[in-house]
Amino acid sequence: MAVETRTIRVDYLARVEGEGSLYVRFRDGALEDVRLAIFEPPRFFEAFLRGRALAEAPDITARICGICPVAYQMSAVHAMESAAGIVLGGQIRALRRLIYCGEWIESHVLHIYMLHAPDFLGLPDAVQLARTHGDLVRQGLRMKKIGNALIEAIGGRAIHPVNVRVGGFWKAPAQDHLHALLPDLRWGRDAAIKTLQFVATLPTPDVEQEYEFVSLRHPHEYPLNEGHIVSSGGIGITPQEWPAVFEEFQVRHSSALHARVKARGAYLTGPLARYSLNFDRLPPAIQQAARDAGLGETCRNPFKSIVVRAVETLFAFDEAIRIIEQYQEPTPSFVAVEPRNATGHAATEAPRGLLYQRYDIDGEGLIAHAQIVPPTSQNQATIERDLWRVAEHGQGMVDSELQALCEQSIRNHDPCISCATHFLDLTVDRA
Amino acid sequence: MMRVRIIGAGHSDRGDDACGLVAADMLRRVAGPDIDVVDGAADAAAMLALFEDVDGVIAVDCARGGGTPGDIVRLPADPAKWPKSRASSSHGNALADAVALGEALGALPPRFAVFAVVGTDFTLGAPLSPAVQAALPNLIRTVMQEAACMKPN
Repeated sequence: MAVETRTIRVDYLARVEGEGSLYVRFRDGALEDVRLAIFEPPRFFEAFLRGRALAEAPDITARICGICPVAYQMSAVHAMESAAGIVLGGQIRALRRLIYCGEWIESHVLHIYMLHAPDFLGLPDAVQLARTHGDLVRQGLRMKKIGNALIEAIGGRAIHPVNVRVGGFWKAPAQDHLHALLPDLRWGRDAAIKTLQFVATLPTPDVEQEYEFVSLRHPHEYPLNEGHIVSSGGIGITPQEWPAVFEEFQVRHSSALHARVKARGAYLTGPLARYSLNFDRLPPAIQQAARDAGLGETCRNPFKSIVVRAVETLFAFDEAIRIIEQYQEPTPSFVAVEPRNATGHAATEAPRGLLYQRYDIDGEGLIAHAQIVPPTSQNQATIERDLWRVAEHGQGMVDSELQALCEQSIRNHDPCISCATHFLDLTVDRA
Repeated sequence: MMRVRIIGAGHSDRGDDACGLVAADMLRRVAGPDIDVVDGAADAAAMLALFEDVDGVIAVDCARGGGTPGDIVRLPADPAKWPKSRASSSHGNALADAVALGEALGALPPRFAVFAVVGTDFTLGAPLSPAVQAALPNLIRTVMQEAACMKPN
């Protein structure tokens, strides 16, 4: 009897950052293979960094991503300061948290409105969403613009900011400059509540996944720049201990390294993990807004990630307002960092999840070795596990429906392939 | 008073994809204070914001295909009919997506034109190809003539 093969293949995934593809193969009615392939070429940033001065790391790493440059800068400066043995507090610390709020806003809003919402409404893209939900898209665009303006006010420009330096900022923004942003941020906070109310109405499959969540956890705050790395599987370590607990590894079908918990396997970073491990760190009003949107204290439904992202957007607006209301210009705007022969580690929370960086610094302040582990790399194996379950349950669907569900499943995790190459063509093979 | 903005789109480190940015640098020197010349944004939403608060926009970009290298083409109003540039540019189709989004939202300025130079070499780190380099003076004249048409006074 002839073997029946069914293949679903998407050669260029749409509405993700970067270039990847998806391949799903059934043999005789059984799911045989699922691969999320990242074919964007390797970018060699870790090699570029070798031999460069530690002070150059924030500007070089910012170039890894146009959507989340702040995350790369924040992990870089914290790693360098870790190597130098200094910890910054006060208004410099607050400014770092503030610029990260700007990045969460612009990145989350871009994903919610431009990339993810069309999936739930059966629309092909944001242009069609603009035709059917024009006011909604206008709201999203204005929110994103506010996030960009916040980054620009602190970082000098919205894409690849130039004002971040090891030890602080080249120049602190003036108090009145930040205060001028408050009316827009207050409008944005109201718009974020409306966004949350909107995404809570979107139809989502009723699924629960057994993820091991990994995120930062801070004693008092919803995590952005600081905290221990914790997991729903019992991990509780400092960023310095990341290499002892996690490892990167290569798979044939991806130019991005995968990562796993040693001797255990795949895990998930990002909004679902952050929220589920840090619900108690959200301000009470935002906890209530999340409950009103139908969320519990944890969320294991990946299709609800758009709702969690909206909660975090609300948090970012709220936190930005709080920081600016208390802001006083730091003088000086940075502290000198004396290089020493040491290794520095840091993990911060990029919009897409945990971003770990490690640098070996020599006595001259040059980078001898760099390791950058973006969230999408860490999430690849889990995204494939999600796809496996989606394909198994969707086997009876026609190819076009299954392909759409698979793509939505990938976008649940907002992968940034450009960052990871270290996204998507889909192939379904039903032989 | 009619307000016009010229937007140079592209990527500075991808060969001919830089021609919109190079053209913007040249146009800043000749456009005068009443015409705003800016570099394009990296994503569609940010690019769309550059269409705001003006009466006319002229965008300058590079096209992959659609003619002979160095040709200057005026792209049609519908970006779905533009030559594809995906494989050549990390800014993706920010300009095309912004125009499509702007059209859907009724957010395009009353006067809008897009000129593209047909490129040939999109190698990372490469300079402009001779064909595209040679087209720049004519591109500058074409854009300035369009701006003059948008600003009859």
